[in-house]
Amino acid sequence: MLNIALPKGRLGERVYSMLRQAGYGCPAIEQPDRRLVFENEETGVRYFWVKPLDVTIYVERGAADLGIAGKDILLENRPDLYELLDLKTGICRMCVAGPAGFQDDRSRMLRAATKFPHIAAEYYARLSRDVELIKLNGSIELAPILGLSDVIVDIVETGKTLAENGLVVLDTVCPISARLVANQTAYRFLRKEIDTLTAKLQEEIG
Amino acid sequence: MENHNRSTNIPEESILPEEQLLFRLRNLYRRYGYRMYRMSKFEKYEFYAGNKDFLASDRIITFHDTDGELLALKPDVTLSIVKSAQFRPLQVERLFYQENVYRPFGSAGHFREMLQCGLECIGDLDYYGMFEVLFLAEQSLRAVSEDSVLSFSHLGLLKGLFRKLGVGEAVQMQLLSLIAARNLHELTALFAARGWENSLLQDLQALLGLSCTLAQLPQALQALSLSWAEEDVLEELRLLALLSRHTEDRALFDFSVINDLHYYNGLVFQGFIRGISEKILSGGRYDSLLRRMDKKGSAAGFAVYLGLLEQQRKPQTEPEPVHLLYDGNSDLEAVWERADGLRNQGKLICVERNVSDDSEPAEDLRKEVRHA
Repeated sequence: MLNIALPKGRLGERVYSMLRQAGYGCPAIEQPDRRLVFENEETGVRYFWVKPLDVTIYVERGAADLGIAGKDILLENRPDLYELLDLKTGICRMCVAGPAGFQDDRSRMLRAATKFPHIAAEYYARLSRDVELIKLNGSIELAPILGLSDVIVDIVETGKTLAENGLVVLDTVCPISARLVANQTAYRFLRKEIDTLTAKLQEEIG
Repeated sequence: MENHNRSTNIPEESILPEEQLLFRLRNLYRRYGYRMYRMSKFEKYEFYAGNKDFLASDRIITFHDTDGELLALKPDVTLSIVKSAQFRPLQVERLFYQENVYRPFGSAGHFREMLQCGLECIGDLDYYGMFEVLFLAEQSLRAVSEDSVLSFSHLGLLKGLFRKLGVGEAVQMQLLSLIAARNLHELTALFAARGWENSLLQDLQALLGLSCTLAQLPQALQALSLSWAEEDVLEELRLLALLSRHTEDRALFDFSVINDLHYYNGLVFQGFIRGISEKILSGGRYDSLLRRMDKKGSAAGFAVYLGLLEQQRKPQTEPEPVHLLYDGNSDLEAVWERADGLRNQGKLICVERNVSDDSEPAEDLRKEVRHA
């Protein structure tokens, strides 16, 4: 039996749909109820819904054998996991954004607001740019508008929210999408099952 | 009838699983000529500061000695053993240890005290000695659990690939992290972006897909026709494979097993047991560490992280002792004799003064509780 942690929300539903197409359906999960754990003995899978940020914790600590996590979470938290597949869904970009016409004054320290301090720190270290990172938990776009920061480092999907707040993308840090991740111990004991699921999902992705 | 450990006459339930395992491991290592090595709980901080890359984390617990010198609680054992090792031609020093180390563990990264047991084989190490270390790693893992997997790889294969690609250290690190994460999609993207030969990517994919025993490995590598694999690495694997035929040979090749190339070279391995989410054993050949510490010779070793076994152990309830009560009128010698007699019958006896009512005669508390 493979235990799979799915992120609650649209991304998790999209990936479950891919898994069902790949032959790992679970009728119980498609019923509207408040349960969190769903099992299909026939296909050998047990799914559970968890908060997107918690998926890697469940997988790293072995409560789940497999999970679906965004690349942003993998880069930010650096869990010790196998990253087996790019699911090519939940596609977006980690970007630096700022007011239109922003010019970086390198004679002063840059202030960047972000939910992803590790990713931002690594990005600016690559540029050897002195930066003060301001960790926020949401509404990041507000920071440059109110003068809390010069720029933001955040996920951009369509860019609509940025545009509505007078911000533009200044640079792309890295592409982001959903990834299939595996616990290292589980991979060793369930390698055949995990490799088969990975190969079938790969076929679905094309 | 209670189960007793025959050698010590201690009831089995009084020995924690980690303690039982320590006895078994010590016995195993002694049978192969290893001697126990004891060391201090702390070292000078500068000793670790100079070898931070070797440590699992660069975060170390430090404190000042009474003379102001900065000391560190030991985050690692191998460095301390290597420091004191003396090279003698054609000889190896076989040492084992059981020590607590102090470093951050898990994704939360909080400091923990972790019991680890392991061995180091240092000196003029040849293939026989190397194979013996691998064999003892496998035996150690099986002593922890039969439901275990020892995964191994050879860093010489990676070095051959890096030479072929002609890449510097930064790109090597990028490649290592992708291989260690079995991240084939980003490896594919990196190869495409750098314009590297597609055949090399196929070799990498084949190696990551390969799972076989040491005895099967030379033939499996031959079938892959790795044009860049260096002959001395293949020859070493052939010799080790010959020795493995005399054992159960259960270790499995896994190209994602990687350790820091600044310190490790040759065979590296990791052990996993069902029910524990992270590796419980880690080790390999570390001649490069010796070079960095200005030591001659070669070395290999491994550590078993016994502290992780607590994850697997179900919560246990302490057996409730019988409470033998006495009061102000009791004959204390008689109480002592009574308690001793009951203990000799195998009972757990806790002698206490009955504070509730000194006028009551001394009796077994279990009766007293019922009266109350």
